Amino acid sequence: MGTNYKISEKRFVRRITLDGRDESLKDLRFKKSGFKKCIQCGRCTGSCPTTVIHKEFNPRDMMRRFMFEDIHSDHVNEIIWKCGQCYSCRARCPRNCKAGLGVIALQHKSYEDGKAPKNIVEIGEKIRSNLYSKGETITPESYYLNLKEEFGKKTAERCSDNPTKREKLGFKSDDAREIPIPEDALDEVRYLMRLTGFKETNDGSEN
Amino acid sequence: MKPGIFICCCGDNISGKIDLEKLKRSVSEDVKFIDETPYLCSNEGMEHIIAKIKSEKPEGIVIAACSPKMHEKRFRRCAERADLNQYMMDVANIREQCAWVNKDSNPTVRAIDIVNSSINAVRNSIGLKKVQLPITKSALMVGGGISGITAALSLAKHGIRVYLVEKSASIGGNMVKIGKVFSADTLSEECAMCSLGPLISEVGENPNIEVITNAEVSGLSGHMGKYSVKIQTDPEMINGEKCTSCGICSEICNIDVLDEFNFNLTFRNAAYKPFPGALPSSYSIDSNACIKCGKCVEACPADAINLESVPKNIELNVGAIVLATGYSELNPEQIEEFGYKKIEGVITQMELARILAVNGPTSGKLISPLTGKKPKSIVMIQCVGSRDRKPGSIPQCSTICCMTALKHSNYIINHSKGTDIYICYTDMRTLGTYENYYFETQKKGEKSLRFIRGKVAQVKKVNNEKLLARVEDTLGGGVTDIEADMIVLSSALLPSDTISSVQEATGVGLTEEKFVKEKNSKMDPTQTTIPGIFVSGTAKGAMDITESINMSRSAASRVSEMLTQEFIEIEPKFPVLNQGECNQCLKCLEQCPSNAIYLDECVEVDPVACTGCGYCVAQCERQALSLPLYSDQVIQARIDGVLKMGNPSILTFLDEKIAYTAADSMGSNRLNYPKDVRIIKIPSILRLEVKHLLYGFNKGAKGIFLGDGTANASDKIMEEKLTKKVQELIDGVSAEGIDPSRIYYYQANLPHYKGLANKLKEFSSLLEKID
Amino acid sequence: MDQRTKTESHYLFKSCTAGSIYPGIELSTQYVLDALKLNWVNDPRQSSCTGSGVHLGVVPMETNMALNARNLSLAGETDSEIICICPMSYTNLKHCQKLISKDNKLENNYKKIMDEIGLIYDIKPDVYHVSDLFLKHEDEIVEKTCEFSSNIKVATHHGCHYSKFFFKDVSSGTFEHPTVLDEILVSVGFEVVGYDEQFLCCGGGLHRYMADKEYSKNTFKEKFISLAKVKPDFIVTQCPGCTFNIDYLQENVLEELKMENSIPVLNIAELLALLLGAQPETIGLDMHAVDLEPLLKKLGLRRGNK
Repeated sequence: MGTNYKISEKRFVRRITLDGRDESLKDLRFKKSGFKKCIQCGRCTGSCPTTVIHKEFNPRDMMRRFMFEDIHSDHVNEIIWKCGQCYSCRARCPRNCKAGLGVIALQHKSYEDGKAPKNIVEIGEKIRSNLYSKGETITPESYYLNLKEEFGKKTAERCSDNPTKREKLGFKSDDAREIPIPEDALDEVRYLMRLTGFKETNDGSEN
Repeated sequence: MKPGIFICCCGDNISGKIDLEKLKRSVSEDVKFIDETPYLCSNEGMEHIIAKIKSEKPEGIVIAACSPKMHEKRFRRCAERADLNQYMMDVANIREQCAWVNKDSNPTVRAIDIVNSSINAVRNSIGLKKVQLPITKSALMVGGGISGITAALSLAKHGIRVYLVEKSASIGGNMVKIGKVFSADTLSEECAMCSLGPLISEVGENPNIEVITNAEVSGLSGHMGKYSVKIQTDPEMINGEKCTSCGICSEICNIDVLDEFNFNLTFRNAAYKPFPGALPSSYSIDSNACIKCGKCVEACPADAINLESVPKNIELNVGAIVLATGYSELNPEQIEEFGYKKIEGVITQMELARILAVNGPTSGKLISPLTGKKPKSIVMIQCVGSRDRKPGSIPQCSTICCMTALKHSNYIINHSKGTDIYICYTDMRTLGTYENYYFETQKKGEKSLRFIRGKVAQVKKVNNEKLLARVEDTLGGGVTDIEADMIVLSSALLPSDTISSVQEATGVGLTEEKFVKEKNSKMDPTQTTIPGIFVSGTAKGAMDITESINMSRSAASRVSEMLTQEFIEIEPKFPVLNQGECNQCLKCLEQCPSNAIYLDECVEVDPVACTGCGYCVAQCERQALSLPLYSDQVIQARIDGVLKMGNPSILTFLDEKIAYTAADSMGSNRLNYPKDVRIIKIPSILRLEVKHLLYGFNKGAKGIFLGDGTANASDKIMEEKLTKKVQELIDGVSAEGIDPSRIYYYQANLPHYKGLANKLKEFSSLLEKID
Repeated sequence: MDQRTKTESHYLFKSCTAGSIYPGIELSTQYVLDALKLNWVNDPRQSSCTGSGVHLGVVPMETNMALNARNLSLAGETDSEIICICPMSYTNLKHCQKLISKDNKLENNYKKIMDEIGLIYDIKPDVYHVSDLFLKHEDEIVEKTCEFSSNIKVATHHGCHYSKFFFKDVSSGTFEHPTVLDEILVSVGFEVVGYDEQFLCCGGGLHRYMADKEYSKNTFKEKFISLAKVKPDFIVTQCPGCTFNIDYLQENVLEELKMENSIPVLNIAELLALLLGAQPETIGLDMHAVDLEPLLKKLGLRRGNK
């Protein structure tokens, strides 16, 4: 479908051409967003907690972009990261579409292409590495932030001792699991990860 | 003449408020007898009335009871049963408009005036009879499309003879041409011919239906129940009886004519049969195209051709007429920016329908006229000529084009891989279950169908090889040029050309767009402005096949209701014309709000069409017209009656349908209004003349209140006439030196009866200021 | 592996966020399951559902589906239904299950892959959130609940990933207004108070906070203003992520709004464990950012059944 957008630099006219169709985004989630069923009613946008904070993000408009594959611009690459993934858009959609799901597909493409924002790349690497080394996404370390700076003095005072407290409860300080995942099970997880695109060198084990 | 009086106590609804003894004493001189009964409306009460009339033999009676809206008809039947003419009776409304009026300290005073008014009215009444009109039990169906076919079949099954007149060579209309029809139930496209074919055959086989093709209505006379219609046919060059449909005439004919069956995308011969399965099945010769070379005459093995035939005139007698003249697609040539007929590859939805039809010009293959190949990209432009206030367009929505675009898209998605479709729309309007069809089409079109909200501004051709549609994607995509090799215009539905000649012949009212107008499209659909003439299908406005069928059955039912009666019985509420006095000034005919007066050598009143408003009577300078139930004598007698006791009075004339009923509601809801108000029921304010008002003032009325709500229940014409009438009355009265502020007009509204009470109070206090 | 096979078995699906920030939520859940004498499986082989990565766009859908096909099959192997501590796991497991089982090609692919890691492919186990199970055993919970003070007002937040994605599967109430927690709380004797922004996202869990602080803080602020208006004694959540957000972001928001009183937050498992007799320190209540001591005092829990 008409994906070849030629936007003239001097004239603000979009051109949908007859030939040279781009491949649609392969990610299953893109299709499953249900954009084909969308009637652009805007109920998603009216329900979206992001739109009221980042006005450039608008789930209805995202769906329109999905329809016309208007998803490759820098602007789109920037706004997709504003979505909070709450799926309020999905819950209230009269046609049961999932704008948020299409957005993750775009986020993932952006991440794969190395176009994700720096902080996402950082968290991403951490999460992927946790997944590869422990079978977990979030680990206690991910949360050992500068508590005072992030959450305030009282919270820092109350929570700075949490690593010790968790150990008293029988949890390790560096693992989310009471009983860490056994090595053979972890091998299975890693096998599946490699099979689905994780590269041992730059994403997973980092060795 | 002294009428008998029956007073109803209505439990103590009436007797509890009104001093009946005083009432009786006050009117006793003028009456034959006075009777008092607890409940007149009970069976015993009514038997009592009958017995009393039979024994006392009064020449007229007054029933002082509740509103005539309650039981007038039953009391009239009592009178008839007692051998008293039912119109020699009047109901004095002393419950709703007297006993029930709140805060009236002495309702007896008002009750006396009301009863006096009724006594006077009866004394001035004449015995009347209901009118019975004969009915011709046959109907004319104008137009042989799906609507006409449906209505004709329906009527024929009711045992009514039907003449089905069709202007073209076969019945079938637009539906046979469109190939596929959408179905919301099966979410698919069904074969139009397969649905319609059996109905066409049924028409051919039904002995109650006579099909007259190549024919148009050329004249009409008579009235509802008894019309005479003139039909003119094209020259019948091929004798349908003799023709064996062998087709040799068409083979030999070499005159090319644009084929309307294919929306002029192909040619046919002058000797032709519109489509296989046409009815009648015989061939026709297009008299406008034929050059009379005579080849076909020689070739015809059945000797069925006579090129010297002349047009025929037929006269049909029918009781009712249904107009089912259908629609034609707007020719978008005049909307120049879309380039129709100038840029190759720009076609209409109707033309696309033919292209997609297996019996169409390309045998169902989707081919772009621009490239001669399967189109890569089609842009459909919605609302072409609809929802548009430019000249040549129509302001309303054509209702079916969204579904048509979806239907064609769905078909193309299923049958033509690699063709993309862009539907540029203003609003997608897929009402009711059609939304499911929209939804399914969207789902199927995941890869190839896109919707752009925006109306295309312009179509251009680029380098002789592709088309460009410029549109704003109003949902955020900005100005967009869509490349295409086929552009389809969803053109508006206009009334078919036939409607002009039908209008000329019948005088039926049309809308600005020339659709047939319904008299009251909300409460009385299918009824045109002329009684006995109905409309169905797209002659009335854009609609889809289902709606069209529904409407046709509805129209057929209306006709059937009428034609299956023995005769039409009509109350004597219409004016009577004294032909000797009539000078044929035709003012009445021109001004009648219901077109009930016609000229047939002399001026005639159609009692069926007449609503009894009395406008003509008030206007007739020679007083040739009179309305027996509301004659000058009766009106003046009622005025005399209410003013007889010399009470200070506000004469309150209320129309019988709306304002009078609102006045009843004021009583039922125990509202308060001035004690001076004296209500006189009339058919409409239009009946009143300056002389009536002057008579009232001369007899001592301190003010005259005019309440009419008929404008609220009908079209603009009534409102205009009322406004004009009121002005006329005011001017006339002031010319006689009476302060015009003593007249007050109020456009009554049935549910807003409080408004009427307020206006009466307002008028009353205004009058006090004057005095 | 702790597996007690009986007629009905529950595969406890553990949460990365809970295990990292509130290990007590996991312990509480175990405590409640035991108190209710339910059969449950604690399988260390389980991997993360990958939700935190998926919803940040950093984990491919294929990995998500592969790992969850494995997780589902592990539960299948133990013949248990899955009960998730985290709504994000609930949605992710269900979503993968739905995507794979509705697509032959995918199904065959994951069958093959499970075969390669020596696991019998079985992704059919039902997936629930633990609170669905708690609601099912509401009567037993009420029966075993300790006595506590009356007139305590609670506000609930169910979490978007429980109610909005699989909106038809909310086990009580509607997606717009789920009442799973409300029902349990009312049964055990709390007064549940409604508030305007019931539908609104809490601002997301830790992963969302790290990705977009502006979103988390602003959205939470809206939510908190609405919550504070109805003056609940505490807030009950069922999502470890929401618990984190509502708990940890309060101090800054209070300061910004110049408000005094913080509102304690308890996960439903923590609350039920308390009511069923657990000692606060054994379920890590001292690890919360908003001090729970005043609430515990107000609750005045007395050991022994009601």
